[in-house]
Amino acid sequence: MRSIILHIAFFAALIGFVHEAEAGTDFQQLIDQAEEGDVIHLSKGTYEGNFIIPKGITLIGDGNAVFKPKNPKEPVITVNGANHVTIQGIKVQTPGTGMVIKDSNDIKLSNLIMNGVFSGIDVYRTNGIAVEKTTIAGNGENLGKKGNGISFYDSSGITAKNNDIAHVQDGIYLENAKDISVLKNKVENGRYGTHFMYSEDAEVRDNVYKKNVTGLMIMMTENVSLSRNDISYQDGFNGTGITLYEVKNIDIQNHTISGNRVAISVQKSDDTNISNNILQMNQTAVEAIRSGGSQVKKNYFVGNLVNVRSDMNGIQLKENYYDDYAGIDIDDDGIGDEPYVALQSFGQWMVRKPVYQYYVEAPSVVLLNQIDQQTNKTSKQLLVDENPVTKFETDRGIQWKLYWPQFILGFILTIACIVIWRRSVLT
Amino acid sequence: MLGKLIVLEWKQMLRSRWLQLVAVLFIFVFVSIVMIQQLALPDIEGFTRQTASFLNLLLFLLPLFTLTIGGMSVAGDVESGWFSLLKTYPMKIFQYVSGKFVALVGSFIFIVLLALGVVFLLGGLFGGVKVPYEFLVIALCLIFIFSAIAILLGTLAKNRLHALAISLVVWALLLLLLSYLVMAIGTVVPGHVLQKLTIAILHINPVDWLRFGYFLISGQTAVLGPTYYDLIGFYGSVAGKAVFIVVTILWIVVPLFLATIKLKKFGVEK
Repeated sequence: MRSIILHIAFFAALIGFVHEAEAGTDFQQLIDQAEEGDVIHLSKGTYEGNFIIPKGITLIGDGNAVFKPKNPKEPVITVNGANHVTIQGIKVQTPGTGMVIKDSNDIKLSNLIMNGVFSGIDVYRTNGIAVEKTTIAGNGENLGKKGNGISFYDSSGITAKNNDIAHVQDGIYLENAKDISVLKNKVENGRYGTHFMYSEDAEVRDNVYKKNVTGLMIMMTENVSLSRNDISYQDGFNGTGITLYEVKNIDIQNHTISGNRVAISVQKSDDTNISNNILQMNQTAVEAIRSGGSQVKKNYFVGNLVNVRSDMNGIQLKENYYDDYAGIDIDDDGIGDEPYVALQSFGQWMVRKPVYQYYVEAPSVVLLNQIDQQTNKTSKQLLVDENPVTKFETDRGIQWKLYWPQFILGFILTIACIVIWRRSVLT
Repeated sequence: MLGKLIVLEWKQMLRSRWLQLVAVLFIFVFVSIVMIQQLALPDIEGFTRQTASFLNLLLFLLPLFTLTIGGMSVAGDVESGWFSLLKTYPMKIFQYVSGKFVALVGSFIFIVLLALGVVFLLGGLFGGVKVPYEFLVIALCLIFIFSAIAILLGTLAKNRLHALAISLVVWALLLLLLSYLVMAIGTVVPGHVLQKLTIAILHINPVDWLRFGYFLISGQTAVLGPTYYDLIGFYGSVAGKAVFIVVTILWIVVPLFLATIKLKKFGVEK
């Protein structure tokens, strides 16, 4: 018997006690009374206050516990100097900041819902922080009056996974952060989908960035692997799918990047590898400014207005597929027999003087580009791919599929026009 | 009288071998571009190569055809003595001009509808094709504006060949040369000067005007870049939209008015 009691006492000490919290009670007092490792289950209702968690506890809600601030200028929940904190399944409603995590370790946040917030979760000087399955929707103000969805400052061991973020300034913001995983998130209608500043060692994979000013903004950052992200419709005035600025050792691989003003903009970065991406139907696919050492290899350029444009430094092009390549492949080895020259005078002009953008794909520019393609065949100095690929494996075939309404409308319109024409001509 | 003239002109237009050839050419190119682009390229919204090709097809071909056919038609009337004969009827010069205009506009709308019919017919066999309404609006505006300009050019010409030459020069000027001129000037002047020059040219070149109109109607003004933010902001407002409609109407009315004045006051040159 003594042994059983000792065992129970041991496990209770190990996992902490389980508390039940009810709305309307003094929740801060419950937190203060809890011991390290305790679990607090949150029942349905509204919890009002600006709560501070200074110790390692677990808050578990079933999605119906709503947290509101007493002072909207302060965060609703602050984790300060705590280790091993888990918060899951709660809603936060505030015009200010939802949560702040400071000077803590091993924090897990999941299944949170935050609507109409200025900013969602701000993390400072924390090691080991995971934010998962969280929905954050910003306020209805313009971008200048919004905060970020999730921000990480001076932190490491970061995971942001399966989050759904919209209408904030930056979906996920990382500053001076290390050891980062940004996986399977969806960020829409913000300024930057994910924004790196002065950070290093990151993996960004399987995310969706749509309708932001810029999908991925990476500045002064090192060692980042970007792969399999779906980046589309960053088509505003300064819209860019991915922007790299003064970065080192960045890989951009296996993406589909569609419908952006500029798909990938590489600026002042000589150590970037862009490979195996499909860049389709963008206004400009790749823009390079002072980035002559970066490499664009084995990508597919399909339906872009301008495939590659650069300043005088150019960018290295190798074994890419270009749908406007006019050369032939007599030996059928999949490599064109003459180099592809991406030099288009107009593309260069746009880089040097943005005011020229007014004429993008205007009739005069289309003709100019055609002339360029003929006259620049001898230019081998800049934006030349010596081995352009001639086969696009994902080409769609033409498929018969009857669409009755349009077929009948077309039939009636055509017959009617022909009959009217004949009658007019013959009578 | 006006109604009879319109019907007569309409029939003459459709009987014209020139117009028939133009119709076949337009339909062929229109259908080819729509089908190839839509079947070969991914279905992406926004201003893509697909939409750019479509827009350029309209901007290249419709002005060319309306200017040459319209100009030669009016000049041909004068050259053949048909216009002198018409003047013996109780008909005002403006009625002649407007009758010619309506018949020309009707003929080209007819061609566009026929091209659409063929596109829908073929597209229906491949799961359907999209023809955004913005293109139809721009096509109509192109037909209206350039038909009016064509009639003015026809009144300025001495004969059919002269009308053809004037039409081609005006077409090249509006489609290509003005843009090249502005781009060339842009290489030696600062960006803000080039911006103002571009905005000025935009208002005095109907091709640029309707291209800008396409971006406004389709909500894709961002394509033009942040340099034109203020301009786009103005034309996005109610006042801007009103100005856009007024300027577009002026592009139709003023050439017709000038053509009437020319025929009325200065007669025709032979």
